[in-house]
Amino acid sequence: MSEFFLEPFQYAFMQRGLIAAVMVGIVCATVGVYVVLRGMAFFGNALAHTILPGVAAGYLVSGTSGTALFWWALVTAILSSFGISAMTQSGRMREDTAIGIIFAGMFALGIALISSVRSYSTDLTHFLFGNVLGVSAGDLWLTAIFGLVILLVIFLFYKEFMVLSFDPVLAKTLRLPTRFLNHLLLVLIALAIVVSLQTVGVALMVAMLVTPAATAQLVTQRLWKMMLISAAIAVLSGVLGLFISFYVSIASGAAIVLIATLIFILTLGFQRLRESFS
Amino acid sequence: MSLFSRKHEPHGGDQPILRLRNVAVRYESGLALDDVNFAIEPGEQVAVIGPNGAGKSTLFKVISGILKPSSGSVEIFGSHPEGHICIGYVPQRSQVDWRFPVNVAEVVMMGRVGKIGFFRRPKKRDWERVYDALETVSLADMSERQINQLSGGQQQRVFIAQSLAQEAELMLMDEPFTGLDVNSQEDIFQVIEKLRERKVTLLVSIHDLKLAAKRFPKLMLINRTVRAFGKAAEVCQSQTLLEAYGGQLHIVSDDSSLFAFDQGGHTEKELL
Repeated sequence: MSEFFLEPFQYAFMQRGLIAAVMVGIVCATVGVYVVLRGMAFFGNALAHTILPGVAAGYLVSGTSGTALFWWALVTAILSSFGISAMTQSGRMREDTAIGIIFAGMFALGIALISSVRSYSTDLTHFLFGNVLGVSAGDLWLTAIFGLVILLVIFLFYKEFMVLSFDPVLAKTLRLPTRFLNHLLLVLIALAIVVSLQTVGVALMVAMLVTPAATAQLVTQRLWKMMLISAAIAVLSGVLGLFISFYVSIASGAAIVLIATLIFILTLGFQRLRESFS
Repeated sequence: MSLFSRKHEPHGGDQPILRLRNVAVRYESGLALDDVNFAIEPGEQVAVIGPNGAGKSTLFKVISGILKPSSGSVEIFGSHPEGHICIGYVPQRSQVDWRFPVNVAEVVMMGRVGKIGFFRRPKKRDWERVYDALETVSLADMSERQINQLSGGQQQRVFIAQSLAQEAELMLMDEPFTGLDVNSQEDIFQVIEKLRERKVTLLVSIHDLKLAAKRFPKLMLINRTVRAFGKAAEVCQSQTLLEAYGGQLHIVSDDSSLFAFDQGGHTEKELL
């Protein structure tokens, strides 16, 4: 039995993949709590997709070297998040329409850029769906450092983010710097996406942000508990997903998301069942 | 760094707690408020009445400093509202996400976040304020409840407690009685009575004219501008009301009382 669990981790790439999946899970699931509570799922999904042209440009300039792509992705993500939020606040059109237009346009630009390279289909697949087993030691350090920064900021601004998310009007009457806090939160979401890029890829990113947090909201009614439970579910999904991808040989990012989705469905079903009996 | 420190403007002197001068608010769709002038003294309790779309919520936004008037000025103790964290805004229940994962005590504690300041946790003194506020609104035994487990009247009182914890000296209540049964309304009037004792200045928007006229000493009738402001009997003079409500209200007056009907004649209200 223990062999079943230990065998995959004799390989260094599996060890690194496991560490990456655990770190990414904790970071995304914690930031994801605010994505869920503020109804930003569509924004998160769009933001993940809009960084593709940045990653593609980095790829054309410096190849698939992990750390260079990280910085390209980071700059694009922060610019995109501010760009989208500025466009949606102009009030000229519905927010989801504006997001939809930018999201699809940027995504198309990314695909166009990548498709100019001969070996494009494998590389595009990695960007879209992640390649957790290709994570290098340098990537792990970047993930760890930025992950810790994200968690630290969430901890430091816990009560301010809580007020801002629950009651923006109260945040303003308490004279909190709401513009600064809103932008800070956007930067955190952007960072979390960039940090997770290699593990789950662009296309499934929104699941890492939304699914564990949504599951946690079903079982708790306290914010800090929601964060802890969300992170625990994400870690569990990451580890189980990696096992499954090793033994069944399916794409690891997809396996992780499928496990998280399964946990959500089971939790929802269990709750409905309990409600109908009480 | 101005971002992390909030300076609080001084109170007192002989300034009114609230004064509006020539306030106008223009939205893309037109003027929401125009030439609004009035002053309110500390401790006054005023019901703000007016037809739908009269600008009641715009007025509250301007007073609380979350919306800048297009022209004119709002003064709290003689200075800009943005310099004050003593203005409590009690939102309409329909504006709140009741599924948000917080309990009653946490919601009330949110009122203290501005005072606690960045990078600090609530201290014993802050929790004492919170429980004191919950005591005042008779919800002390509910502090651990999740907010969606409360009745409508209790939910409304949680937000009043939040403003109390904020140490608000001017409270703005947006339609606190809407959708509540008579008993829950009475509970809120009890709290309002306590606010009166504590000299908290209060503006309450109410669409139920009868309730406003019967229970509040002073009424402010607005429809884009202040149409009448004073004792209930003065404000409820039929001509003034009729003008402010336009087609939305029909008024029948006999010797001793005043009746108002809305357009469909469904809600008949005896005003005085």
